[in-house]
Amino acid sequence: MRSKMALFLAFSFALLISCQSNENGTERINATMIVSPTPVFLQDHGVLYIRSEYHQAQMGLSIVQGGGEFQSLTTSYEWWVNVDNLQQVRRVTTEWLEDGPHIVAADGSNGSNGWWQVDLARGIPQVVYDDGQTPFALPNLDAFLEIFSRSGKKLVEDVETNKAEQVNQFQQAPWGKVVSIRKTDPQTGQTITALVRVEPPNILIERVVSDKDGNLFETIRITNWEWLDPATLDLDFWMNPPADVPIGASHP
Amino acid sequence: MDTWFILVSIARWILGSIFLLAALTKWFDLSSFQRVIIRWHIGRPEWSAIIARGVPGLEATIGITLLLNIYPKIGATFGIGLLLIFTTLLSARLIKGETEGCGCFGNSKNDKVNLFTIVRNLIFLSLSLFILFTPGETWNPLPISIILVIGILILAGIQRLSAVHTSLKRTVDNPVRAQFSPKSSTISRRDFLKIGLGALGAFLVNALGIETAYALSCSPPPRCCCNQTYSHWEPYCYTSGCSFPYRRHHVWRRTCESCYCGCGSSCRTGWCCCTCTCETCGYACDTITPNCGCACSYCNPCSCSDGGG
Repeated sequence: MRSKMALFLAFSFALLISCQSNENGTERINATMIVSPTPVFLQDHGVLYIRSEYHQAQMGLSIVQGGGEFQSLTTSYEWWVNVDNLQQVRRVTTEWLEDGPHIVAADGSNGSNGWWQVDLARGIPQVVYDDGQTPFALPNLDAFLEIFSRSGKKLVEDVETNKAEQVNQFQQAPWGKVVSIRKTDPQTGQTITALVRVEPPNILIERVVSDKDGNLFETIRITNWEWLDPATLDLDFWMNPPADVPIGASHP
Repeated sequence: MDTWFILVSIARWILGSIFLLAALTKWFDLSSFQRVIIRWHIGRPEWSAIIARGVPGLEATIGITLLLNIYPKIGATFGIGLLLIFTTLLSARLIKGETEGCGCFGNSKNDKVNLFTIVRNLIFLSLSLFILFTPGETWNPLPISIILVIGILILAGIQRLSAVHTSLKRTVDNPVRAQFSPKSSTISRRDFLKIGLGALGAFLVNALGIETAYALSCSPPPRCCCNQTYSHWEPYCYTSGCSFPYRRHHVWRRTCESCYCGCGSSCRTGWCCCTCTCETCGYACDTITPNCGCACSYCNPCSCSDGGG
């Protein structure tokens, strides 16, 4: 009887923890719950989920709010890419305003015969579905990784040519060896402090830009680099934007 | 900086300096200018004293407006009117064969009426028309205006001394003629000080507060608005909406008052009307153009979003 009671309590506790996660979490967090336990940089199969946060400290203008005066603004960019089928992609751009997240643009494809998009800036405020192959298909995974490594590679080259200074080097999962780089732009007087993966592809993990007066200008940071199991993501996931985040200023 | 900014500013400085110099040299020797008005039969003889004081006053106002960039287009309009009257009068005198001093720049002996005087006036007229009809914004670095005004005051002072010297010489040469000439009404040292202090006050007002007052006076209706665009590139290539290898380019717009040099605060509206295009990925900078008459770095931050682009 005691063991049954203990089992019941343990189950209740686990359920409670699980419910709390769901209350706070979004669809993205549910998806990340199936992340492989050890962080891996690259693997042959699975869905690569990348989330990056871009913070404009001085000159942000919200598309959701339709502009206004310059303000600080955080925008997140998310990608889900099935490396087994590069036609199967999902992308979401979200502005984080005072009242919470708002989708600015998103699109995706089921990987075979359907795709969709929503884009406030281009006057598509509601999800539009289309048949056929997605126009957003990637040529290969390397091309996708190059999106995140192009400026990292440039910074590494700048260190080699003494245009930038290497500050530190250390190990960090899932990147492996990473290098901290500092560079001052002579034209704008801005100081860039960046964290870059040493081995190719030189992923730019973080970049902090300060203006000539030392005030924060902008930051860009990869917050998530995770591998998901494609079996756990159904077609609805690929063919719809996150249901719990409003598109634009209000809920759909 | 836009070429028009520089050209209009240079035109303003030249014309403003000339008008101010003409005003001061006349003012320093009002009696000579009054004699010119009587000789040329401009209005009734009893009006000559008023006209002799009014014309330099108007010229000084035009000069100050152009040099300090306060309602320069209004200054240019009055300048055109004044120059047209002068040119007509000078042409009429020239046709009649009279070449005696025009009094354009005080009591200068060299200032004879000839074809050069007409051509000179036509050049000034062209500059005024250029200032009036150029839609571009103007640029007004205060130190240049101050240097010009001080320079003109010194130049006018030198001219005045030269005129006094000539007058004294004339008195010595011909005491009888000097006795019957109109009573000298040259400006005293105290008046000169007053003018100098007035000019200094105008600079201080311009530097400290007139810009704000001017901004308020700009609305509504807009007189010389400048439409700025803020070009912002998304930090990543291949974000939502764009296919590989394109990146999103946002262009925002706002209206600023280019009437005076102000950053941010001079803008009538906030940023709006964002247009979004997908353009080939590459190294691109965020920029604000044009700077609407302001040379400060804030207006052109050039933050380069190369994070993946």
